[in-house]
Amino acid sequence: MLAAQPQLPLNTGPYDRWISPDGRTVASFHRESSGLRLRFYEQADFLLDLVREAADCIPVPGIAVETLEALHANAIVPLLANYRGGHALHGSAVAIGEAIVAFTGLSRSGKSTLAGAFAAAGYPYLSEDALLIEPCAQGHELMPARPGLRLFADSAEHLGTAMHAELPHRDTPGPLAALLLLDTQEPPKPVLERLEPATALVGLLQHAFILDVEDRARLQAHFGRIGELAETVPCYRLDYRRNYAQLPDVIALVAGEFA
Amino acid sequence: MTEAAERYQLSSDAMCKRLGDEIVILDLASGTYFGLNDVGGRVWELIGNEICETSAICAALAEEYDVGQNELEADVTALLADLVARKLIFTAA
Repeated sequence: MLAAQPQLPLNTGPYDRWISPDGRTVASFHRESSGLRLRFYEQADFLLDLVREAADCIPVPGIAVETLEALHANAIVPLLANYRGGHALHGSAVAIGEAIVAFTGLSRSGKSTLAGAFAAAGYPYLSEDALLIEPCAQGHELMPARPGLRLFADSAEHLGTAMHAELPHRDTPGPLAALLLLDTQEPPKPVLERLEPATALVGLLQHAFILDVEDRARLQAHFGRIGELAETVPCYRLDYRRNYAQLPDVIALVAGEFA
Repeated sequence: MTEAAERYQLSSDAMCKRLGDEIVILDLASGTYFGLNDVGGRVWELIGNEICETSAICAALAEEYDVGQNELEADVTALLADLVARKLIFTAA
């Protein structure tokens, strides 16, 4: 980590941005002579050396170390993993018996809340913000992230802050049984339906960690990898009302399908 | 003199992946996804394999599918026009 500095205006405009559902720029991606700079506003800049495939962090003054660690684990690590040819998606994952079920979706679509709710119901979570998926002899396995759920205040209150630290976490990889793409139509009753691979591919691409959207060779390879994932891992659409009272029904529906 | 038949080529902005009977195309220029069914996907693959003229595409498909010549030519011509309109393929120089 480098010395803390205020985030001064940059000389280059961004070639990509991460935008929150309410339209704020969460992060911007810039090219520099030494590599790429990812700016997480009011948090930190990460300087990415693509030769070393490593990142240096320049925090803003006063930012908590835990925030920087979360940014590194949930953004930089998956971005570099995808850059190296791996599978990295925005999402969370839980263990239902030996089956690992992953949820992927847009920001604020309920990924972390689902992981917390499943964990509170006795299904350990493996990750809450980023999915690192690796090929294995049996298909694909999901790598665990470090323990810790970052919940919005309302979700944390629902799950109980005292229980938050005690939620079961699985720290070993496991076979990826299914990828559930979170939809936000919010039907009256929870819906879980199988997706055709082509539909799943288009959905999964929206949730992938892409470091350089202008690197066509890597984009082509990434497109192929996500297609292979959509073809080999069963993919489903999961939709439900974002109402805490619905979560037990969602858990019963998903657990019943994959237990 | 006979007019030269039009030849088609895939856009360099188009990435594709076959999944079962379908081909998914990502157009990098527009950020839009397209899906082609089995026959449409074969047309796409034939153009990618440099079988680029309408007549050659129809001849190849006629060997693979049980379909009347007129219907096949009409469908292929319409598909090629649609792909050109969406800038997923171009007429080659």
